[in-house]
Amino acid sequence: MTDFSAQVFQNEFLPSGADTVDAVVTVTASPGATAGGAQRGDAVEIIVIDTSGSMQEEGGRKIRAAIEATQAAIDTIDDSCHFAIVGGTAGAYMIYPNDGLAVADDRTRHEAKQSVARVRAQGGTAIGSWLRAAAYLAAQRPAAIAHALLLTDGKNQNEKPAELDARIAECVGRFQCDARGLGVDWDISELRKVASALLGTVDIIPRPEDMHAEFTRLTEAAMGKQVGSVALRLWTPKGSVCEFVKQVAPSLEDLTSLGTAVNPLTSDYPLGAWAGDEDRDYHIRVRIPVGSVGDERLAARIMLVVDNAEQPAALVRAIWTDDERLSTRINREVAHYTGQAELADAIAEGLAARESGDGQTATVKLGRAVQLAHESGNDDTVRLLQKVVEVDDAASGTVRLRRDVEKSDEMALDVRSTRTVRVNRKAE
Amino acid sequence: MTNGDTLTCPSCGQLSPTSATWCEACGHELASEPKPECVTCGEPAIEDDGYCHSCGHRQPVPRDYVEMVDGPISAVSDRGQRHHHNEDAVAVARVDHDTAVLVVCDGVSSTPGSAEISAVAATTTAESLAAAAAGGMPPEHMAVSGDALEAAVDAAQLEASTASHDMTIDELNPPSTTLVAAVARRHSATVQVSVVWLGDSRVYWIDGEDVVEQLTVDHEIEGALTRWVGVDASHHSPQVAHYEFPLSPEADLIVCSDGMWRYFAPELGGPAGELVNRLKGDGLGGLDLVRAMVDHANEHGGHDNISVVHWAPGSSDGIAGTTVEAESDRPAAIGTIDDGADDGPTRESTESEETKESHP
Repeated sequence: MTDFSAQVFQNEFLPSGADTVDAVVTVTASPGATAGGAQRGDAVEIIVIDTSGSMQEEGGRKIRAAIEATQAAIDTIDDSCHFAIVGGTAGAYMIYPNDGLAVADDRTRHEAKQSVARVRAQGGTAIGSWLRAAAYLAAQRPAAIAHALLLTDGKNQNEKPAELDARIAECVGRFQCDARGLGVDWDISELRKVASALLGTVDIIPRPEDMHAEFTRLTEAAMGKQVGSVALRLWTPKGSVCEFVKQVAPSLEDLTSLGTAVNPLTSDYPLGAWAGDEDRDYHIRVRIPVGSVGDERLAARIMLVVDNAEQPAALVRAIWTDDERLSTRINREVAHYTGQAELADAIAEGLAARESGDGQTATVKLGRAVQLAHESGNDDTVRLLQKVVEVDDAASGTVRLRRDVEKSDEMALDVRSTRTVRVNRKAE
Repeated sequence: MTNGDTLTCPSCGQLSPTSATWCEACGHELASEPKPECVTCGEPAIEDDGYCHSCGHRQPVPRDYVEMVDGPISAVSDRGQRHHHNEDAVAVARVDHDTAVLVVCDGVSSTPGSAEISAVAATTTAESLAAAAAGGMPPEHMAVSGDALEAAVDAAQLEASTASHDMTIDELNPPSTTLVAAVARRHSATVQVSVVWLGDSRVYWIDGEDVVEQLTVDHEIEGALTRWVGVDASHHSPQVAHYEFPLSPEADLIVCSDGMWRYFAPELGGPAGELVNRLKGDGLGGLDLVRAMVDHANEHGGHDNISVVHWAPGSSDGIAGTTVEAESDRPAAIGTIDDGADDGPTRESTESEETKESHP
């Protein structure tokens, strides 16, 4: 059994007339005290690899690396886990097994690796049709924890954006998907859409030889998931507006639009599958009807829905006061993640300005990003920024744009801009 | 929530038979008994944790408003209009037909846990003083001895510290409270009042509109307390004072927190004497008088917790039902104030350096 708990960080004191309540909620999964250990539910792993013609470029280096990485990933699939390998071109086709899902054992893993070895790269790219195939396969075992790893090296040229959107919508709630782009010729916004809707991550794999490590890391993580479906159930009082529900650690993901109403005052936000021991932070902002000084009102009641069972979790409160020492207290967690969100925005805006030739705005925004990343101890992001800007003084955010920037470095900064650090890892 | 012969799940909206205890769809408990109604919005939706499941308002807790009556001694402690909790505490004790103990403690709202220790301090002080007043011959011209007053405060200090150690507290900002206690004793044609205090809660002797004696001096500098009760205040000396007043049918002894006496200003309906006598002129006495005084503070803003304890030692409904002749020739009160800060090396006052914000 896995136990779930939630802890709220907030300043519950509001000045007279204020209506906005911010809280950071840490949700923690931990191995339960009850015996039985890590008894995982049924799992489905689907690996979708791009076998379009572009994978044959560079003398076949990309497709050979993809084959080798997929074979390594197959080796990490646990016995009795259901799995399938799908090839993607302008359509989707089964690489292994011929239809449906295979049950992992030494024989099927061996057969799967042999089938993968015979893959040839030719044809187009239609990511929506690949997702549809994955959804079909996941539907074979609807109760299982289903995960897909999707790899592409190019843009979604054989589908209209609306088609991809429609296919993504069909997949929501059926499986989680980590999307990876190989090289620099794919479109970040396309894969980000896929990953956000399907509660996964998106990242760049700059070089073919990096695929092996990334594939095995992702499938191993998928094998570690213990609980398939967790939702954050949020009650807010009558007359209130939930401004947003965002995952803020380990990375920024806006869940607001994924909420589904349970009743007029309550909505569920999907948190996806969880390993037996992990924690994630969420930032919630609610606007509530204003109370009088001295009033206390519940701004949100947070519950966790784990495998369809609701459990009470934590309360977000609002207390109106005319004591400025209370109402002006800055909550460390809320401030930290507000800063991490600003950091991601500064990077996105800086890169967009740089793309459009507005060097001045790009310098200001990316400088601010360096400053925020430095202040918050987000060293990984500082390193990514340094490949795009020359940092003269991180503390003040004084930077100069680099002239020659590797496309892959720029994309890495873009795609990883939403990665956050925890609140307790502040810089000195 | 009932709907004909089905129950609607309050969580997911699924209909279940009225016999169901749990919602089949989501597992939510189906309330068989209606929940209490919200004092704010009226919805029958109060959860076990005291919040309304419709509008979110926290429901009042018992401590928000406390009334206490022991014979003719009356006390009210109220959250007021602006504070979120009531951290004041009151305690009373009727020792015998002629002797009453009146206590107010005002927990400092900026120090978490103060509500708990103010209650402990008030109760301990009242019990200790009641025992002292009940035992043996009282000293001359005093309701109880100065030693008994100091011992009561020491006991309160000890109990408050023990309570603090049992709580999760802010170590840098431990719970703290003011303390004021008055022991009043009718003795032939006089009333002896012995007072002990730390902080800015007060005792008043009011005898008609013109005689208003404040029996305490605030331990406060520019809004910050200089003495209090709490784990960080074991070295703070209580101040004691003894008074003797003529027994008068109009006399009122009032012990109160600053949430009350700040509304004794002339521009807010008159000084204490005017206010009390106006209310008495309306026929109010005892608990009704105390309630009306608290209402007065609330009507003028109720910026702090409001606590008032009252005894009219000479009234016809007094402790022994004694009627007292009005004194036409009132002598001035005999007052002796013993500032504990000066009574020895073990009780040093450091009020110039150490203060506590009492009015956030």
